[in-house]
Amino acid sequence: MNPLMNYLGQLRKSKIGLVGWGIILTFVFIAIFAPLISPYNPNAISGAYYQHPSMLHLFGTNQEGQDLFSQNMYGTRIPLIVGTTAALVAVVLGLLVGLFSGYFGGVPDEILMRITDFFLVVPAIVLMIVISALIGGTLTNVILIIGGLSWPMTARVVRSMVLSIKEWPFVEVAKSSNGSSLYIMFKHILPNVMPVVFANAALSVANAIFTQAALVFIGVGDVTDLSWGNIMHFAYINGTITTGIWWYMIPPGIFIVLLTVGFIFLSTSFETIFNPRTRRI
Amino acid sequence: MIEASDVKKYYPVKNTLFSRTGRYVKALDGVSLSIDKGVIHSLVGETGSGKSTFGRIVMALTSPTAGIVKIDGVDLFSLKKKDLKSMRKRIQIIFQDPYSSLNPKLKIRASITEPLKLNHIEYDEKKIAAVVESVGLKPAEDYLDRFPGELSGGQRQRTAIARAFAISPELIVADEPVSMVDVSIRADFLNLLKETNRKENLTVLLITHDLFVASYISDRISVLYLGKIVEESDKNGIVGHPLHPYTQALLDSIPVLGEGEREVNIKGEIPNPIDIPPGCRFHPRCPFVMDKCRQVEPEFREIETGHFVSCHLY
Repeated sequence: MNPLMNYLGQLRKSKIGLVGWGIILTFVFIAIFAPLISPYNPNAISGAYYQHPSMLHLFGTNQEGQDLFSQNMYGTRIPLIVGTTAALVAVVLGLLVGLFSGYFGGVPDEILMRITDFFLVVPAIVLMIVISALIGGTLTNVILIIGGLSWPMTARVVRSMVLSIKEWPFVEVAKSSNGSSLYIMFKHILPNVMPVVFANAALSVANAIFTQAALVFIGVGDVTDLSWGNIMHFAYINGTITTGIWWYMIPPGIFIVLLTVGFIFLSTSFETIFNPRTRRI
Repeated sequence: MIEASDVKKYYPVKNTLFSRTGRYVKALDGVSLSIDKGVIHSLVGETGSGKSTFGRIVMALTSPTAGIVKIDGVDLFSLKKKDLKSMRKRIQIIFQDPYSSLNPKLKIRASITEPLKLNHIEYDEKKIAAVVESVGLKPAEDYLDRFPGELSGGQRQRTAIARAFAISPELIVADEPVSMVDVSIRADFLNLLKETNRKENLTVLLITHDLFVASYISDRISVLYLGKIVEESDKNGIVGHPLHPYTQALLDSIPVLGEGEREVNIKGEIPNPIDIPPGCRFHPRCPFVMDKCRQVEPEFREIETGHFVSCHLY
């Protein structure tokens, strides 16, 4: 059976997976059609400042009088882009490190795992702040920084799976038929770790979305790029929390949590679907 | 075809932080074996006797601690990488467990064509179909595009055998090939091996714990106990006229209809290969144990023509 069809077939029985996909696809839809959904230009002044939510301004307005609903709609784009691409970077790095480390063992494994330990122990967010201060917080840099610092979890998980899969007889059969190490790693071991990698990738996206929001919130990165974290950043520096302007901070906060939860649900559904032990028949 | 002399494989016992044991698990403790071309030779022994280790050494999947393995006169472990590659074109292995010897993510077609692709042997659809059908998976097109998970255990083992046959090897190492398939189709598999052996002059090293399986198709049988061969003869010598008490016990453990008491009983289990008993390694379990057995290790001698045994009784 085609793996995709297999997944879709199983997905129908996984409520958590359906909810996850529902949330994610809704946000993807919003991101793509933001110009159509938004009633105003998010950067234009469309009314008086600090207007309460109303039919005119669904989420009210900010200190400049810009429409917060429109800003939130446009603000969906960057979390999604950063989340997926940074997760891609992290997963590819983690997968490669895990594969090589687990397969070859010995000294390369020791070296790679000590590096992994280092990145696991160092508080990533602090390192990210330092690095982006050094190299500048453009969108690309933020993606590379988040991706480049969040691969250790994937590497650990992949390595532990490789350690068990490489002992399977089919690996020895391939070896005895002159299969090279690279061949065995990518043809035999990789397909068997992919399910776990998918689950990890979805978690990495959730992690990256959260991290990006956190970075922008504390002012790291380009604060002119519209994103949920950015809205929260301005809500904070304008002191809206203490002045009772609740409609500024709350919507982007809820959106971040929602999208993150969507990806966590997706990850859980990958795990239950691809792991035969937890799969419901 | 295969000539192994005094092959040893010791695994160091893992040292812990506070103690250095310096001890070894002696999986193979000096095995010499020679198998002629076109012969089905069985290596029989209990779990822990080292028989699978020997198979892995012949496949060059692990190297021996000491000793020499020659294939057609060439030392397997001094081969250059390139020569090892062409050597491996001639050898295939069949494992016991058809569930783990096929990659669950690869279609049957991919598993079977793998040795052909990796060894740069040309093939076409017809050849694949012929190989698959020769092991009893008919019609081939019903099986080729399925995943191992969609096949039964027996069908999977047929696939594993088809994969081994695909490159027309000269030597097959079959490690317990039938111990996990239903008794009803065991004979099928063994006949398949025998048939290929006759038709293509295939040499087979059959590794099994089951003397009955071995006697069904083998020309020669070696009995392995704790990493050492205790008796070797042609099939009739082992089955009809076993000399070593261990072989006798193995034979008596095959249930035969209408027979009552077993003649030779052995006690206990195979000892830990870290602490191999002194003298004859079988003496703690031997019903005919003598004082000499506890001190002197018996030599492996030819008692009758072509019938070797290491036992002080003879």
